[in-house]
Amino acid sequence: MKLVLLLFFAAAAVYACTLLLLVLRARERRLLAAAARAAYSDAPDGIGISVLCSGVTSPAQLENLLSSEYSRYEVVAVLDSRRQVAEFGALAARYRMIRVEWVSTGELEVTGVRALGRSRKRCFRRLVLVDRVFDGAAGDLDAAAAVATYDYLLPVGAGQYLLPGAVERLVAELGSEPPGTLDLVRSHLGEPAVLLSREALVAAGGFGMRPLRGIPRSRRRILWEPLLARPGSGWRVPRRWLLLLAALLAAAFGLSAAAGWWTAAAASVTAALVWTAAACASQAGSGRLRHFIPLRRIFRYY
Amino acid sequence: MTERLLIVYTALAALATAVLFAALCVAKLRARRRSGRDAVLRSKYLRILMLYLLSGEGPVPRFPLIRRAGARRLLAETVAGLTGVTCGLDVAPLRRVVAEYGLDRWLLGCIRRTSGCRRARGLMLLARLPLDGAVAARAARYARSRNRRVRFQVLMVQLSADPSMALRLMAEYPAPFSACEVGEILILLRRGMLPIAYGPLVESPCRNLRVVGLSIVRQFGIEEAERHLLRIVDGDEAPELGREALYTLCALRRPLTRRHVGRRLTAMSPAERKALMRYMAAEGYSPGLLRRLFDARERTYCESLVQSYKRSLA
Repeated sequence: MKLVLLLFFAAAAVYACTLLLLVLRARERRLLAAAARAAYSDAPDGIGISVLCSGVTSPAQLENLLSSEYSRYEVVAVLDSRRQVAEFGALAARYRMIRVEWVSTGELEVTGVRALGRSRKRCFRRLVLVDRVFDGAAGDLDAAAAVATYDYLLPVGAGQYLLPGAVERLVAELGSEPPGTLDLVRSHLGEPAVLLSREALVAAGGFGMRPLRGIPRSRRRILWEPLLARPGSGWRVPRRWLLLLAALLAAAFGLSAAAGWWTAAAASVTAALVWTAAACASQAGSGRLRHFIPLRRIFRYY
Repeated sequence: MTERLLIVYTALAALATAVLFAALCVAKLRARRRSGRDAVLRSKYLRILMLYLLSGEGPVPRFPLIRRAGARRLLAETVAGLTGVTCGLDVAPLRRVVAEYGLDRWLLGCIRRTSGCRRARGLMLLARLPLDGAVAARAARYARSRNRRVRFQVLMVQLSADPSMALRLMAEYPAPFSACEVGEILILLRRGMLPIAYGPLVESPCRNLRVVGLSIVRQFGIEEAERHLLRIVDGDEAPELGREALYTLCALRRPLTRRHVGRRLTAMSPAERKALMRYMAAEGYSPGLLRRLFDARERTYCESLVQSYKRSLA
């Protein structure tokens, strides 16, 4: 029994330390990408990213999504003008949307689209607004992908904000490989983010068909750094509780070590190690990892 | 035996926890100390440097708190930032500041002590300082690094130290440039550090030089390069070069109803053709041209794309 517990503690400690190492390495890459950020807008290969939004009605969130300075970038927002009358009207007026023709390209099965609007050139020329009967996030994202211009798609849900430099970081990752060799770039830290290639999505048949499953491992890349964040969400544990918990852990470790209860001492020190590694990872990830992310959000669309 | 293993594990885990906790405390304290001080020092250094740059002569100015931890890096970053925007001004005063405070030697020392992306970041900062050939020669020892980013930043150091050797250095670079690397070279070019002679680059047999040449043509909208572009589109070189040249033609909004273009299109995969159609629709090419370029199966797709940018008034 003791041996099993020891193996469990060791596995937990190794896992925490490995995660910390990965986050620290990713931090160095992020800092390097941030230092060269200006270069990526001029990347000649024309790596383009379309952000697909379902259920995004907040003007602040849309402004955040539109604020990226990367040149080959657009935001495709899908709303139901009959369910969200006021929000749709406000967006159309704010961004001076021009109504254009909607004709299905036939790549993805898209139904329920009533109208398509593009923001005025030289104003907010990166916004595309799709008016569609809401029947689920996957349908909305398919409709957005069908009108997206660029080859890489980043689905974003309500309340998910882009962190500064996130688009450039994704472009740097895509640009570091020969064109067309990556189909999926994802990050589990912060708010889970998935950037996938349009071809992989079309081959799978849409967001409802779990497109990530068919992508081979060699064409995937995981970034150990946050790209999206949800401001003010999650559980914030008060500092005094944290201090109390730390004191309890220290006392438990000291008492069990003094009494010679090494299993209890190993358990408390493992908990302390995992906690400290998580705190270090949070610090390395610009403090964006302090919130606990519900696991179901990671698998929401996929 | 298990008890002994538990004791050893507990001791090691406690040590690791203590080390991590100490590192965390140091990082937090350092971040708190620097967050306020750095902003003030940076603005002071910038002001002093700009006054010195505008006066252009006289003794090298003194910088407050330069001996404090992190201040030298701050000065190096400020000089590097200023070097990037001194269009038309003589950077000799900045060069004197770098020499007087030994910023290049200090950075080389930091680079020697680091590895991986941190080393690449140091080299990137070094490449942005006004340098001489000796520093580039000392940085060349990292040219055979296993890390691709480090190798590329060594090239950038060499390019900024001796722009006259740019063609040879780029041609001899052993790996093909990635898209972002070409973007970084173009920034040097826009600062006026490299020549904008696209001809030798586009006509060169070297893949890296051609990619940089194509980027120059696209960035500066050089329509006279159309003949070169069509030759690359028609050529049998790497398919990515032909594709890149085709995109450059589209970016220049040149007519595409040429047999060279038709041949290249047939060699492209359906996914690449669709990506090109989306690009052309966004660039404003007419449906008539798209109809002539693509076959009947793809015509519906490109027509629907073009329609999504228009409003039928009839």
